Amino acid sequence: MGQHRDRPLDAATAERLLAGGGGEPAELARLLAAACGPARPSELAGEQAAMLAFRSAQAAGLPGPVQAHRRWMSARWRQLMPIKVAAVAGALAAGGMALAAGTVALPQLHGSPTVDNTGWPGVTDGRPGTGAPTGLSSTNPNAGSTPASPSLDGLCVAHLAEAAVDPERARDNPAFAALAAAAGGPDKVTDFCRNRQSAATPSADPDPGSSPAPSPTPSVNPPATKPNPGRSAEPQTHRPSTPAAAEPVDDSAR
Amino acid sequence: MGPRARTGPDAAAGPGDVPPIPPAEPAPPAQLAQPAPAARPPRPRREPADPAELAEAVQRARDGDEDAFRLLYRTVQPGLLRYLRGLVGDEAEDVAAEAWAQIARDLSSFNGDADGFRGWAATIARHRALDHLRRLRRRPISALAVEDLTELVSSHDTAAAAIDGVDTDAALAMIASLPPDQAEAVLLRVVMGLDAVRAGEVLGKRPGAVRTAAHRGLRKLAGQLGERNRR
Repeated sequence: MGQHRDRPLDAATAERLLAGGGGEPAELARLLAAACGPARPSELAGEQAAMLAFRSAQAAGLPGPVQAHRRWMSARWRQLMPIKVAAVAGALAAGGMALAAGTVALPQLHGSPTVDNTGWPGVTDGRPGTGAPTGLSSTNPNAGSTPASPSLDGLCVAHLAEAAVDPERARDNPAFAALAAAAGGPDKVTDFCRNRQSAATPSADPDPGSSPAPSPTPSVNPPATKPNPGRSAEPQTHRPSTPAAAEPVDDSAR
Repeated sequence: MGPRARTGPDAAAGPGDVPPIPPAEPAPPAQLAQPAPAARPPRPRREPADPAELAEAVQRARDGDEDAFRLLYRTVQPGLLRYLRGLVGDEAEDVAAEAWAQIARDLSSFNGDADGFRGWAATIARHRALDHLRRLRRRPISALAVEDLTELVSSHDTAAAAIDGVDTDAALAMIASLPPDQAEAVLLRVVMGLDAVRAGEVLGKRPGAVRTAAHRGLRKLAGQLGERNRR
């Protein structure tokens, strides 16, 4: 054992040690073993905070799985295509850099804009304090803090979009539980949302039953155009806006 | 043998394995420790060593399963925290909390296996750490000087040191005292269990560069250990 210093630490030995193989040189092997020794209770002290963050994200975010996001996106693109939304969608496809720079008026979308199936989403350096990559990381403008309740209007937009594609899934999706509570039952959500949207947009699509949202312009998430959306403490008052009506605050894209 | 498949007669323990207790004294050339003795405080044990179990937990957590997310946390957090310790020292807990908040938020956009999740988590943690350092206008620090470590370790008796994990802290501090690129390469391989390819993705480097940096780090550590033995 004491002769280990006569042997140079060659690449093969190094790789073996790094892979956890152990052996020679013994002290180095022991050091590496100590470095990856068992978890200590103090290292899991942040578990409760992490679980809270998970629950908040589940409550604030919309349907988790990427498939729902893609379906929703394609449903939106098919059914409402004003130039503004197309421009935004183009910006998203380009990687969301415009969004990250906060220069585009954003529709309310769920999930991360940098969805990437290879498992490496565009994890850019986030904003200080909250780490939210962009304002689209959740529909909740208070993405950096624990939201009080999800925006019903935002959920309605997503629900109606999903209902247009897959009504059963839209009805059963637990992410819309807040809507079910507000509507008085999961079966009532679709009507609830349609009524809600047509009440807010008098000049809406004359056939609300066939489109996911009577308003061609989806709700804009005002804080998301700021560079640090997660820290915004603005109220969650999303109203579907009409193109002719007053635009929400930050329409600086144009 | 994969980076985390630490089994075998003289294998080191991963965070999910039955832990050997390495002796605290650095001086005697130790054979690698035996499986843990009975007198050991209970440790959180719901960490899967099985990558398939971790991959399944990722999928279930994406679907909103809280217990699955808890499993992810318990499995990945210890290594993540130790990696961050090498980057930001005693602010590692705060940065780790930010990282997990982002992991929770962005989980729906991740789709991969266990190794992919570890790499993704490490990437998030690294970005949070660099942001943190930029805010404070600091460079990654070396936690302790090697000389301090000798005192640190010898001030505890063997059992206490093993139980307190002082040996772990001492080892991590030694690794963190390496030049930053070597420290990161070693930490990502050893405590995060990433292979050179995935570590390269985290660091934005080619796998060969990561291997080189890690090997240099090990040689330096071996040299430091040799010097310590001669004192």
